[in-house]
Amino acid sequence: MKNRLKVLRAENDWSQARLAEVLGVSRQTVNAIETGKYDPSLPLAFELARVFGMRIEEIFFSDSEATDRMGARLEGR
Amino acid sequence: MLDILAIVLYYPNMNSTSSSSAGFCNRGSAGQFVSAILMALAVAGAVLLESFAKFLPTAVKALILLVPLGCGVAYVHFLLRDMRRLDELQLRVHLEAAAVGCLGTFVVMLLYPAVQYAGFLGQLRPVYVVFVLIGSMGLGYANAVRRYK
Repeated sequence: MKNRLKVLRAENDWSQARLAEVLGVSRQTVNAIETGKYDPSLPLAFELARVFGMRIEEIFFSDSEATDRMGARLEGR
Repeated sequence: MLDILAIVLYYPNMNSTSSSSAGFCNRGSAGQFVSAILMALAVAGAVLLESFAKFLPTAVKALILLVPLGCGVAYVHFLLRDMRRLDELQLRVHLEAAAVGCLGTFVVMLLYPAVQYAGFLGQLRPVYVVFVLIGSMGLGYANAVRRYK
């Protein structure tokens, strides 16, 4: 599963530690989610969506969806 | 011994988080560390006393041997309390490390009779199991530390 966590965090100018504090998890967990090494549980995904004021599917998407987005972006060029 | 190994290898790298105080991070609890040290000391003390103080009455010996049990119960209490404060990734890594430890020991213990039958090893002594468990848990926790960065 892919996600836009790093981008969203950068837009809000938050460090991993700050986001981890808000979510009530460790910085390592935020890092693992960002790098795609770990897929969060549904409650944590909901919490992330709430923190950023978005829907879950706006933050997380499947690998195939990510490929489709990349393809659409390339076609648009 | 196992507990101390786990704490030395694992807990300094694993900050626990409390859901009641979001974002508050602290290292492995002092209670767990102290109870593990006490348990190791109590076991060593009980073994020494049992082997050297043969003049002690049986009731006193039994009481001495019960001290590590009390420390063990305290350790389990603190361990569980700390585990409940781990976040989901920490729990998963912790579980995988424990699985490596237990399954590693299981596999070695399954293989041991075959190796023994082939004449490479002697009679299995209970203490060997402890060493195998320490080794496999050490591997599991070392892997956990590597992954949890």
